[in-house]
Amino acid sequence: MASGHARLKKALVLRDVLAHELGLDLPAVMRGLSTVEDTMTADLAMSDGNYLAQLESLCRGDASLLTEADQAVRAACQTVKLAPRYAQYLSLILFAHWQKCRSTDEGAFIERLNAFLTEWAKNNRSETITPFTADDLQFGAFWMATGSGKTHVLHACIAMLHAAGTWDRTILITPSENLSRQHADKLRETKAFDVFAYPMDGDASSLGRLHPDTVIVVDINKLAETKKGDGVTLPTSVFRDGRNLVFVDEGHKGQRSEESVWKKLQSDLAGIGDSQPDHRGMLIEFSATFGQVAEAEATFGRYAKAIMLDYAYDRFHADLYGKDFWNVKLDGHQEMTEEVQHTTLTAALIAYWYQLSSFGKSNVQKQIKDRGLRIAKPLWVLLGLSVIGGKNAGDKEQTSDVIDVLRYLDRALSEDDFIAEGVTHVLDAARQGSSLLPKVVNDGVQGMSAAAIQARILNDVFGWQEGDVPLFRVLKTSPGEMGLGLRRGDSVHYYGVVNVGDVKGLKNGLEAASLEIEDDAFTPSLFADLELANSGVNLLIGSRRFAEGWDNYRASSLTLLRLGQNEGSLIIQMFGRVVRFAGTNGNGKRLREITGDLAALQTAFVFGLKSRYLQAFLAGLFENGIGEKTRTVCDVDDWLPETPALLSIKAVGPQQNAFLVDLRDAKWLQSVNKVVVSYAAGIATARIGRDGLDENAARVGGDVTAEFKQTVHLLDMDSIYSDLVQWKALGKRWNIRFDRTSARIALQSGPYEVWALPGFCSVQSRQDIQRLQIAASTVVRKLFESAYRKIEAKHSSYEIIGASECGIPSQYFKEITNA
Amino acid sequence: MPDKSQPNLFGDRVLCPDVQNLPLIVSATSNHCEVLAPGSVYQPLLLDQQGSGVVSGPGALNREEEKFVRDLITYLYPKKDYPKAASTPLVWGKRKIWLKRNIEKDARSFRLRVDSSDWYYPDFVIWMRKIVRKPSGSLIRKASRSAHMRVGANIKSFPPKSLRTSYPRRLVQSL
Repeated sequence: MASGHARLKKALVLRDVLAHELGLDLPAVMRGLSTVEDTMTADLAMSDGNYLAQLESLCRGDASLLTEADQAVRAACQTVKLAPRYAQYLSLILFAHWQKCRSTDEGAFIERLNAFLTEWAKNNRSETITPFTADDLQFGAFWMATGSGKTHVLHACIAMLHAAGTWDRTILITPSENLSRQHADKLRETKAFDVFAYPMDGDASSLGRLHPDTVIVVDINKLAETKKGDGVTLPTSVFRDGRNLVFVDEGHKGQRSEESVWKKLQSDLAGIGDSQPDHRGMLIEFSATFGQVAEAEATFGRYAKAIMLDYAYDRFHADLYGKDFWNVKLDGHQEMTEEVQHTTLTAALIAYWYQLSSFGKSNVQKQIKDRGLRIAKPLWVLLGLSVIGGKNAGDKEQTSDVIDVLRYLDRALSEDDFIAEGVTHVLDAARQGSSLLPKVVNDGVQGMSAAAIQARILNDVFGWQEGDVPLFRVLKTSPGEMGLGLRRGDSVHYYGVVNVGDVKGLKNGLEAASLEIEDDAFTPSLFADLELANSGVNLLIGSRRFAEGWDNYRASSLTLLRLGQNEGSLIIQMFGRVVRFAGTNGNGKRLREITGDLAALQTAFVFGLKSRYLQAFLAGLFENGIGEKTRTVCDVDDWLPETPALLSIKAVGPQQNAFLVDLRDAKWLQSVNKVVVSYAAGIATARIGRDGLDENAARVGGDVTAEFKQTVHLLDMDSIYSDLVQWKALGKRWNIRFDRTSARIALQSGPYEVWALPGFCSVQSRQDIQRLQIAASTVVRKLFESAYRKIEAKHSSYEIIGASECGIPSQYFKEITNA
Repeated sequence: MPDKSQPNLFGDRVLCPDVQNLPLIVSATSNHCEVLAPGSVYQPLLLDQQGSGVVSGPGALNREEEKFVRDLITYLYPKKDYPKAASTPLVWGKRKIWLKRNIEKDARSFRLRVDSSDWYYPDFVIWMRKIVRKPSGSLIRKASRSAHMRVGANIKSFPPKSLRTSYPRRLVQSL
């Protein structure tokens, strides 16, 4: 089943009909306009008429319609001082045409829309779209990636609609008070509108005194059908009686139970379907994740008839906007969790340090300056979507992850060679062809010893000096912040900050992990410090708050903490924060074909503390069209000749009663081939760039057979024997005979190898013994299987069959990743 | 890159191609996922395009396997007069040759027990039949139907020496 994103993309009938009426082939037009933007820069592309000239050259219909739409777009953009990027311009052109058609002759427009829909449906049978009605023309939508400039498009739409008619009110609904402030500030910057942000600019009684063109900004949480209590809730009745122009920015966010109520509020405010013509307003919605919205609400048809143009993350990223993206997944066996986590954190630390180190090089700074790039100081973000210190199951899991990270940092900053040992493992893995590091980092650390890398990391990332002692402190001046610091005599140097939801919950967790936490009554907010150009704070351990509201370009490496399923829209926001890139002179684009240190600075490195977090993260991206996979199944053509009929051979295994495998005689080991049991961790890396998703898999670990054999005397042979008896019964291998001695001899002198991460054979607890016990059972089982197959093979026979029965596939598949 | 012959900017529709019009496997520069391989008993053969964003199966050929098929065909047809019609074999001197990409882990495929390993699946199966010329000049086929099967017996003589190095596992059946 296709994701909501893919389904909605295929169903965008309004986009297709608008393009058809304007005589535009959208793929060709997007390529052409993109080239114009690249060549001319956005500043000149519209003002000099280059966008329009490009559209006219590709137009297969009446070019005068384009000229008319361009005039409306140009006027609106001038009003709000916008030099549109190509996708913004094209969205606005389609919107201008839609707006003109619906306002000049609504009836005729509906007829044309439905005539197109009838033809369109013949080729697009996957979604059933109901015919357009007058109510559908009250609702428009823009599907635009965060960072693609949807706020500016929103401003231009307000300007265009104000110029095109009169409205009793203009209301902009946002997801939070914080975003209401941001919107109000940006609207004021245009100097094009009067703005009233509720409740910051006055109470409900002020609303009646506002000019009809004033843009009222309010967050969805403040709106309700009826007034509740004495708080700031605004009943929708204050906006009744009138023709309202309503804009909604990411209006779907929030609890699922609230979403349907919010949708109704928004629809009622815009008077959609209202029987009185002078109450019928307009609703324009903006979102980066309409695919998921439509899927959650089962409203594909509603959005298919409203979206002007899709410029979601897949296309945005393919157009070189935002950073490149690389991730690694280290998927170890469960019993190796701590080693796997430490290896992951060390790899993430090296990758981040490399970014920080690259940023500090004078030749890189010169390149940044010469190319007009704006690159902020790299920041390592360790992020989950739950509340750190909170009480529900997700919160507790995230708190546990944070404590694991803090324990790692505590050891990294207090044990002499802790980082160097981890670095050695990571570099060894890279030498064996299983790198946990991006290629640019791997290349960059060539020739450096683990000790040298440790020294650089300690200095560059943590600002560590000889004698420093790591500490964790709750900042009393800034609620919800815990500083990660180093005690240096009487002073403290902070290198990181944790954004804590519930300090008490985190404190309890830290105490249980024997990590001390102190209070700091004086240090101001470290979160605010992150914004400073010379900030020494290089680590942010955060939660949802960061994903939603932080307006900053520093995040460069992301290590995922607890991530649950079905958090797609938040995941895409999290992704948006990390791949944010200011680009050349603020154009938002990464440079093409860049290698070396600059490449490290325009790539987001993503690691998952646990592999399932990364899986959830990637699933969230796929649902939004990034690296989305499309599977197609096609028929295979059989080209076997009829004459002569070709023959083949079929292997037939023997009946069980035809042979006996007796392992009670030690000689059986002499004829068995070597078996390898691997507890090495699997590594999967993926990079999403312009050319699609490039995935690679490898394994990391070394030969620990000698150490393993030294632990055999510690193992419970009865338990291993019991496992093997169970294996025999489950596989119904009644014709194999063995005893405890068979198992013991196999472990002591059998031809086998065990591969694992370092530390696999260390025995310090009962769990360690259990881990080795499982490995021993596996080794013996594999040796038994090998012996069994060898004897079975001697009794196998072969039959002649027709070639048509020899496994010629009837179908094949193709799976294509759309980046 | 995803197959540029099947572009769809806004959609995710990927077409099933017309097998007869697929590119032949004779060019090393092909970046297609599917190719037409003369002499193969089924079409298309699939190419493993690592790093392209396209995954296909079953039995997508890796680079070495692809090279083997390509070199075999270009060796037998240096003048590029490859047979392209359905069921048409390759011809090597007085022999007709059919090629099968053998699919791994499929119990119906050709497989052997070798030593104590799990089933061994050769990468390819090749059929060869002798062509006997009657005195009148017309051709008749003579299959070598010996009572026992000579599995792998012809590996020394086929493929020719020039094609034999560093190729994948293959098996010649002469039935």
